[in-house]
Amino acid sequence: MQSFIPKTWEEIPDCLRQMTEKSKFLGGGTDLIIKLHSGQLKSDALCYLGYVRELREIREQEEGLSIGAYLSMTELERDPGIKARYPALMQAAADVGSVQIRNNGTIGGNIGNASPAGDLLPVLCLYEAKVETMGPGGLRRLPIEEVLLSPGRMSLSYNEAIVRILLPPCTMETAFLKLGSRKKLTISRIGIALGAEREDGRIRKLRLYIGAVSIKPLRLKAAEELAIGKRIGESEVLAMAEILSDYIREHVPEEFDRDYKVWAARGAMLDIFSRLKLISAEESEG
Amino acid sequence: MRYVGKSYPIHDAEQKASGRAVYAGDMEQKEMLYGAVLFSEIPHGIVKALDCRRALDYPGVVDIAHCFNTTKKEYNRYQSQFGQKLVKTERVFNEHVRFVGDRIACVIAETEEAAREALRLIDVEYERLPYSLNVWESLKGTIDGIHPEGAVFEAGEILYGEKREEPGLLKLKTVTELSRINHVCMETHACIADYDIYKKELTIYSPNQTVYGIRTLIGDLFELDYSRVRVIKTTMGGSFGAKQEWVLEPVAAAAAIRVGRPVKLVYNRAETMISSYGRSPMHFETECLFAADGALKGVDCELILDAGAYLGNSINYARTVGYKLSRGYRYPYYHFHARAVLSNTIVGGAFRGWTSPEAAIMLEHSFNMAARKLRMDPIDIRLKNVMHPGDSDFLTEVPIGNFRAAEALMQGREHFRWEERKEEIRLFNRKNKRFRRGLGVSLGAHVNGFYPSKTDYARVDMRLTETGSVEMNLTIHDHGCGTVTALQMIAAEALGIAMEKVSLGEGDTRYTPLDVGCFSSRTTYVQGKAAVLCAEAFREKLKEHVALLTGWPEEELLVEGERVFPRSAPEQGYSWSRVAEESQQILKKELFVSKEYIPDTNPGVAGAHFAMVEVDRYTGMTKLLHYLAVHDIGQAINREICIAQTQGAVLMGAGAALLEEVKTRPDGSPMGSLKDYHLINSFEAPDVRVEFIEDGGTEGPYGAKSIGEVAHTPVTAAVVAAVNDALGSEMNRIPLTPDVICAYLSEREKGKKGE
Repeated sequence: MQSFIPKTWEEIPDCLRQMTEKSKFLGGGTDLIIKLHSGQLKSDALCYLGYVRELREIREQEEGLSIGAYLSMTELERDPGIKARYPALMQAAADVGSVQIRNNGTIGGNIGNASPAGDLLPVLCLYEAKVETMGPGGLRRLPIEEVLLSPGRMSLSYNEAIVRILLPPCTMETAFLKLGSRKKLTISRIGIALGAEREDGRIRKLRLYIGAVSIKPLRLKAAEELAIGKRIGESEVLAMAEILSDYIREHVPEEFDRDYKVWAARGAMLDIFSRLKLISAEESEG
Repeated sequence: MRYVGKSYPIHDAEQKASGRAVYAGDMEQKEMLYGAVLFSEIPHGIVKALDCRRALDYPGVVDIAHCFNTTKKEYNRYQSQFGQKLVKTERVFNEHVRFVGDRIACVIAETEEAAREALRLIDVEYERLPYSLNVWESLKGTIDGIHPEGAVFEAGEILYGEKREEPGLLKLKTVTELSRINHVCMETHACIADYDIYKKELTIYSPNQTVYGIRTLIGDLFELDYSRVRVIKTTMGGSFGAKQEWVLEPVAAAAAIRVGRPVKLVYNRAETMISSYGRSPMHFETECLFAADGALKGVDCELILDAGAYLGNSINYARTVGYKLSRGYRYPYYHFHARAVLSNTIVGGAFRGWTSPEAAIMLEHSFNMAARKLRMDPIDIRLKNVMHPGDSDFLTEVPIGNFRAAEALMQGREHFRWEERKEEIRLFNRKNKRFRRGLGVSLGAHVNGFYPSKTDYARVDMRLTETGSVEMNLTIHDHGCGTVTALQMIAAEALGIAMEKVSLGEGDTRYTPLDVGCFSSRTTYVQGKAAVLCAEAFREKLKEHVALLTGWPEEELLVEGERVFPRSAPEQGYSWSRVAEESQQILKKELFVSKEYIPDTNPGVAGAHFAMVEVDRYTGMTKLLHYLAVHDIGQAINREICIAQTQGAVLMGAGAALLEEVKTRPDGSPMGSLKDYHLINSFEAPDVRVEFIEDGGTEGPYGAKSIGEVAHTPVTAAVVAAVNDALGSEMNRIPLTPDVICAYLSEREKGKKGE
C-alpha cells in the first residue's frame, strides 16, 4: 500500500492526482485503521494531510470560524473560541469515545466516516457548517447536509480532501446531548443538537437535529415549528419528544434499537432542554 | 504479626506499571514463528475442502496446520487430570465445525502480519448444516447430530430431604435467565509452544491456572510422555476462569511439533471473546416454599445450561450449581436437576466463582420476591435462614466452620444505614417521577479448596541460601491478584524473617511440585497453609543443623531475629547465613525441607453485599450510588489487595447485572468487540466500601479464608435486587440493560393503559 503525506498546502494537489478510487484519506484512523486491519476495507493508498499547517488551524474569519479538518476532538474541546461561541461542538467533541480516541479522532474524519452515529454531525448541521474541500477542480464549499449521503458515503470525489470546516456566526444558544448505552465511552444511540433564540422568554427560533436515528442527521422540523412563539415548559418538551418517538417508531428498523429509542427519546429531549436551561432541572425530572 | 494483615504491592506491580513485565505475548524465542488461526464463518457445517495453495505461497508463510493434516484425536478442553472421565468431542482443528469461531486451520509464518494476511487466502468449502443458537432450538432436535452423543446431556440430579406441602406455605415460582458473558481479562489469550526435535521435547509458555493440567492434556493429545512436556506459567493479566481450560495450547503445540520451531499464538480481543470461552447462558425455573415467618421450607430447581458448541466443563459446571446451593442457608428439602444443552454458539466454561454467583442470582432473587410477598425486610428473611457456625454443608456433610453470614448481614445493615436509607428512598421516590432509587442485599457463600469433592494437596519446599535467605518452591499460578506476594508474606511471617529474604516463583512442571491447580479458592487456604507447615519444619531443621554443628541440645535452641541460639546464651548462636555455610562445609548438606499438606476441612466463607441504585425510568440507565461488601475473611493476608479484589469483583458482578452480554446475530456470528460489550468503567464505578470480619478460627494460614471468588458471588444478585426494589419489578433476566428496563417499563405502561 502506498502512502501520500504532503507537508505543505502546495503539495496537496500532487498527492490528490495520484489517488485512485480505491484510495482513502486517513484522518485520525480511529475507524479506518480498524477496518483495514480486519480486512473489512481494502485500500491501495492512504493520504494523510495532518502535517499541513492550514489543516490544523482554527482561524477567525469574517464569515465565521474556520476549523482545519485535522483538528482533533481534544483540540476542539479545549479551544476557547469554540467553547464560547459553539458550545454544542465542544460538548459533542468532549463526548466522543475515550481520551485516546479524542486525541486521535479528527473533525474531518468524523465527517468523512459519515457514520449515522457520528457525534459531530448533528452539531455541524445545527450550525449550518460548510465543508471546504480541495479536489481536482480546486477548492469548493458545500453545506454539510449536502456532503453527507448515507452511512459511510459522501458526495465528495475519491480524490477530494476535506480541508476546512466553516462555521457561520451563530446567534442561538446551543447545546448537544448524547445518549449511549452507558455514560461515557459509548456510541451514540440518540444525539441531539439544539439551538434556540429567545425573546421575552418566548422562542423566536429553534433548530433541532437528531443523530443516530437516520442515515444522516435528522432535522426535526415539526418539533421546531411547535416551539416557535411559545414559552417552553415540560409539556412542550414532551410534545416535541413525542414527535421524535413517532419518527423513530416509523422509520428506525427494529434491529437498530428502535424500541429503546422510542422510549428514551423523552428522557433525552428533557435533558437537552434542561441543559440549555429552557426548562428547569426539576422539570426534566418529571 | 509482622506481615500478615498489612498491605504490600503485588510482586510485579512495578514491572507491570513500567512495562517491564513479560507476558507470553511479549516473549521472543530464537527462530520463533507466529501462528494465526482460521475460524469457521458458519455456525454449523462440514469443511468439505480447504485450498491452502495461495496462502502457502504468501511470502513468509512456513506451513499450515489444519483439520486434514493434524491429529484427529478428540479431547476435552476442561481436562486437567490424568484419566479424568469426560466427553471428548473437540479436535485441535475441526472438520465438523460447530460454531462461528471454531478452529479450522493455523497459518504458521515468519511474522504475525504474514500469518494473518495469508489466512485471507485460504479458501474453505463448507457444507452447511442446520444450526441452533439457543437451548430451546436444540431441545427440538435441530442439531442432534452435532456430536455422536447428541446435543442434550443430563448433568445431574440432587435430592435431599422430603418435600412437605403444608397449608399456609407460600409457593414462589421464579424464572432466572443469565446471558453469555466474557471474562474480559486485560491480557487476551496468548501462548508459545516450542518443540525440540532432537530431544523430542515440547515446552509451553502460557498464562494459566494449572501447569500440570496443560501437561496432562497435551501429553495425552499428542501422545507424548509427560516427562517430555514442560509447561511454564507466564505472567498473567487476569484469568477469572478464562485460563483454566485449554484453547490455545493445543493449537500452538500442534504447530510447533509440525515445524520444530517455537510458535507464538496471540488471540486479539475479538478472537478471545469468540473462540476461547465465556460463562454459559443459563435458564433456571425455581419453586421455593416459604413459611409465613420467612423460613425456607424447600427448593425445587430446574436448570438448563447452554454449553455452546463443545461440552467442555458444562456437565460438571451445571451440576456444581446444585452443590453451591447448600453452602449459605438451611432448608429441609432440596431438589435440583440440571441439563447441559449444546448449541452452535461460543463454548461455555469456567467463570469466577465457578457457579456460586449463578446460584446466588437465582436463589437470592427468590428470597427477595418472598420477602416482598411476606412483607418482610430482605435482610430479616435471610437472617431467618442462614447457616451458623457449627452447621454442615448438607450435601457434603463437611462442617462450614466459622461461617459468619449472620454477622456480615447485621454489620452491613448497620454500616450501610439500611433502615435510614429505606426511609430516605421512600421519600425520594414519592417526590420523583423520573428517577427511582432502590436498595438490594444479597448473601454469597463459597468454598476454600476442593475438599472433599476431589483430591487436594499442596507441597512446599524451602531451602536456605548462604546469605541467610529462603528459596521457596511450590506450584502457584498468580492470576495477577497477588498470590506470589501473599505466599511470600505468609512464609516470612512463619519463618520469622524479612519478606525480602523469601523468594518464590510460579508453576513450572520441570521444577515445581505436582499440584492440582490454582482454582476453587484454594491458593491461600491450602497452599498458604502448606507454606506455614513448611516454615515450621524449616525452623526445626535449623535447630537440628545447629545442634549437629555445635552440640547444643536441640530443645535448648531458639530461632528468633534471623538467628539460632541457645536459650541460656542468647549472645552466642548462629546467623542463618552461618548455618547455611557450615551445613554446606561441615555437614555436607543443604538445609532443605519439603512439606506436604492434605486439607481435611473446607469452611464456608460468606459475603453480604449491599447496593443502592438510581434508575432513570426515562432512559433505563442505572447508576450505582453506594455499595458495601462485608466478608468473613477470617484473616486478611495482604489487606489492600483483598479490598481491591473485592472492589474489582463488584465492578465485574455489577457489569453482569447491568450491561454485559456477548450477543449473537441471527446468522450465528457473535459480537466480539468491546464496542458492543460494555463493562462498568471508571466513570460509572461506585465507591465500594469493603469490611472484613476477622476472627480467624480456620485451619488456613493465620486463620485466613478465601476472598477472590466469594467477593464476586453476591454482587450481581445485590444489584439486580436494588433495581427491582427501585422499580417494584420482578425481573431476573440478566443483564438489566437500559433496553431491558425500558422494554419492561413500556410493557407495564401499556398494561396500565389497557386496564
